[in-house]
Amino acid sequence: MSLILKDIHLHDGVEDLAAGINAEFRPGMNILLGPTLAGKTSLMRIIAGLMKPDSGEISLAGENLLKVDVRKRSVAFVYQQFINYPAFSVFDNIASPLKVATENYSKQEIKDRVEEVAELLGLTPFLKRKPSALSGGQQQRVAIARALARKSDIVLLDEPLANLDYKLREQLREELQNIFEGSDSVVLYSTAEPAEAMYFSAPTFVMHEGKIIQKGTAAEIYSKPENLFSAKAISDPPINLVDAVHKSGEIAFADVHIELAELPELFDNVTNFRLGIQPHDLYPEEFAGSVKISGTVQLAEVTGSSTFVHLQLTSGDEIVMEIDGAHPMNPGIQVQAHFDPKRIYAFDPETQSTISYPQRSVVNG
Amino acid sequence: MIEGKKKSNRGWFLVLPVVVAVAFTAIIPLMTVANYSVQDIFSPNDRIFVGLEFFRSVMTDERILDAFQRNLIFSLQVLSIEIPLGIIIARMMPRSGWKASAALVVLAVPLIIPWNVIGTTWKIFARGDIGLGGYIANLFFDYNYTNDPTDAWATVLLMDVWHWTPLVALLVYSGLRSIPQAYYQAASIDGASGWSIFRFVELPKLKRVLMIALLLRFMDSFMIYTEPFVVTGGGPGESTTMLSILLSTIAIGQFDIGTAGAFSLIYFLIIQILSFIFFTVLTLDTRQGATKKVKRRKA
Amino acid sequence: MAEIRLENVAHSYDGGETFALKETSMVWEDGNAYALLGPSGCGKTTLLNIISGLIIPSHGKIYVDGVDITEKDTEDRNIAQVFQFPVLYDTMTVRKNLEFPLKNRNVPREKIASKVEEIAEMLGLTEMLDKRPGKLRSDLQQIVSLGRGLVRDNVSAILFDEPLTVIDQNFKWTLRSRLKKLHLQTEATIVYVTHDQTEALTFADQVLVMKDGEIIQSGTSEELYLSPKHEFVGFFIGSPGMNFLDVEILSGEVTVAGQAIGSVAENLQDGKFKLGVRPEFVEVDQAGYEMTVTRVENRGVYQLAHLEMAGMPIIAKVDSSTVLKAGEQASFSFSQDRSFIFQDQKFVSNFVPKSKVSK
Repeated sequence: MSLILKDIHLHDGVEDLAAGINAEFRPGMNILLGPTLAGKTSLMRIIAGLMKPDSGEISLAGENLLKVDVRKRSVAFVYQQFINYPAFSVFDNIASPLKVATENYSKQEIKDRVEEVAELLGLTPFLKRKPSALSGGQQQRVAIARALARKSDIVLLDEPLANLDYKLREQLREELQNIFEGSDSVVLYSTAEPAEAMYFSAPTFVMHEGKIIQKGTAAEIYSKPENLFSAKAISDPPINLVDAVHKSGEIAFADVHIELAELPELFDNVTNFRLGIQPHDLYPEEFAGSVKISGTVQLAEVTGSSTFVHLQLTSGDEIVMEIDGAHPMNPGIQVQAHFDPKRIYAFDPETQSTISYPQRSVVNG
Repeated sequence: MIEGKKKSNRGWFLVLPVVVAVAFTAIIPLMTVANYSVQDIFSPNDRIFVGLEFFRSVMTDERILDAFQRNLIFSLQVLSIEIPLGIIIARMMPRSGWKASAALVVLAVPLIIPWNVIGTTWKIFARGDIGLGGYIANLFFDYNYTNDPTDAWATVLLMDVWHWTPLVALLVYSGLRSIPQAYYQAASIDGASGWSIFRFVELPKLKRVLMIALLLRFMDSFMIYTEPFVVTGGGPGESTTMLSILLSTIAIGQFDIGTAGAFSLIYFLIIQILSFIFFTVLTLDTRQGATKKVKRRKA
Repeated sequence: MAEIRLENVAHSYDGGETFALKETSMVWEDGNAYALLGPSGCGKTTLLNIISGLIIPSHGKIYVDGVDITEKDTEDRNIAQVFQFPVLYDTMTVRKNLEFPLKNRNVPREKIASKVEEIAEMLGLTEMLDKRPGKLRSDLQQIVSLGRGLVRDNVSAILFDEPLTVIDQNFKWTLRSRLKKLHLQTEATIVYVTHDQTEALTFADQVLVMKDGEIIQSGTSEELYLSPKHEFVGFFIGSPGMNFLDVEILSGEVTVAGQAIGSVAENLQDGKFKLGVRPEFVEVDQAGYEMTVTRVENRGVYQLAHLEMAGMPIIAKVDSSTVLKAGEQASFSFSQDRSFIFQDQKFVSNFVPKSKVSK
């Protein structure tokens, strides 16, 4: 019972909200990953029927969804803001979609279902309270419970955890994973945070300017981004990017020169390109086959478990090196970062598409 | 594409009730007025087409021009009193607790009293012999709105201020309440004076609300009728004869329907034009910003 | 800049029934950056508001360089604040925004001009000085609000109230390190309130972890991470947080569900305790304890192995090259100096793992 989108276009008079979206979302969790304004919310609104696409097709299990009236679509939507009925108790909030449903649930059925969902989200003790008497995390739980109460074919979760404290985010993420694992519904979960995409081992769709630009598991996207936008969307801390030149058999940027023999053949036809390297692929010590870059420490941020060293290169570019452990450093000192030339990414500066990605792929568990 | 067509048809159906309503309340009466304005009617069966004759006479009628000038001055006075006063009242109102609710109720009182009751109330209130207001005024100077033009004018103006300043205050109050506390905190950290807070924090954030207040109060006061009609009847002499009073005198009192029709149309047009100018000037800044934004996004 | 001292400061919003901030004394040294870290409702904003003067504490005194400012109004306190969202005067240009705090204090014209140029230069705003702030990106707007605090010479502290809340994910990183660099340049005393551990740990010299109106531990990010003195610190800092196992101690020997796994460094009364160890210190070790792998999460750079030991969940952070499969058994140990015993949520002793566990 897949949700299939074919060439969805929507223009709001100023810009493209959807610029030709093609995708197949299977039952269970699907992740939409992308920065703000990438078109994640618009896509969800189109699927929910809150916006009508200019052209394109949407079908669910073969049925044309665009022909189905908004109120009759079996869709649940959870927003970033905690939206509940303030005057209703938690019980009535969760029951509300069942009460208005066309299926005519009996009182007992509603009660059973609400209690079941409340139990699942740990809301049982709060059923009689008003949403305003709950914490932010609990309020969002109520919104999620409401979405779950009626078993909808499509569940849309639009950055549901973005407004929560980060520890709560961790907890709720785990609960969502458990709830939707093996679900029959098509669940779309949008996020701007790579860590969330990594957390759910679910099909991930990277969005950029109203398009789906890549799909795969988060780990695949991370190790083999198809273009610069994918690489940026999946990298946290952000991927380091510098302008590099390929000339007469070697690659050069800042004070680095790499012999071409060590590099994949895709580089052959390239002269100028954007070179990318992940912060954790830079090391403070030399190792077999490593190449070094020198830089001036701008800042060292210690998180306890690791340190982010901001380096200014001889070219003026700033890059970040992530190293394990706490290593306080004073700004202004000269250090060297070492990296394996096989770990670099290369992007076409015009088309932004990937020329080369790291050669050692991440081992799957 | 078929989907799209269906949508637009359904859309027209939804608009239909409004179209019908507008037709009955605005378009048809306006057409009737337009019809009257170009004919001289002696009896239902005896009418002649006179073209723009009535318009010409209206434009040169001293009484009408005087009333127009009078009305314009009145509106400007209303705006220059009610807007600042409304802002001052709104700023003094408590922001929370029972005091806030009480203040809101007190402010709302003039707004919920029927217009003719207000007129009658003021007519008595302002009388020198039995009215409290008139009595008090007479303690300080010789006051009689029935035969002193200045007193009559001041009375009508005061009534309008009493009646409508609360509306301005309520609008401004709601605008003030929507300003996040952080702005006030930041201003006090920056050492801003009360005046600076008003000038640089509140006023910019109140811009839209004030624009609405200004438009509403201008249009309303330019069409003022009940207050002078009930209290002064437009007198003494013609000192408080505003455009609408004169219009009703011409139309109903003198049954000069042709002149009244032309007058109405011109009156209507003036209000439209003045409102449009107001609106354009006041929203100039925001709309410029908006067009730029569109352009930038497209680029 | 100045030293801020809190003496027995406490605050209650309901006349003493419950305390949003429990009695606290501390000294914030001149030029350091402090972070108040905790979940919503922990009292961090109350503490911030007490310093800015929006709240007068129900108890205690606040001193700035030895001067009692407890009763002083915000405008007389010489503090600057950056809010959750950019707070700017929309009708003024960036330059006018920066000049505003100085004009209000009747600083001479030439002094204002030079100071504004200097700060704009430092913040990289020189080219935007004559623009309206509304036309700038949100992270730059936040920099402008910070600039309004920095233009004043005698500011005793700059308060940051979750300043990255509305900043786009893409710019959070840049803005955060930018703020940190500015702190190094200006040497201002900074108090930074946040619920985000990464922000707090990377920004501050000292992080104060708060919970239920109390500061439960303060220290450098390294201390908080490696040696938590309270279960909450272990849980709240680190993602995922610390693992906690129910253990029993009998005459110095630590057992999990009957299996002896090690001993304690301190002399402790027999009883039930918690053993806390961070995911990165649960190490793959052939000589370790048998655990069941329930799930493996690939995080790109590393993997999170969800394990079970005597029915209790444990998470281990392992290299992405380690091969682990859900459903299988694997052997792990707890790192020597990084495993701790807690009682009533408080640290009581280091845990000493058995060097070898016989099978």
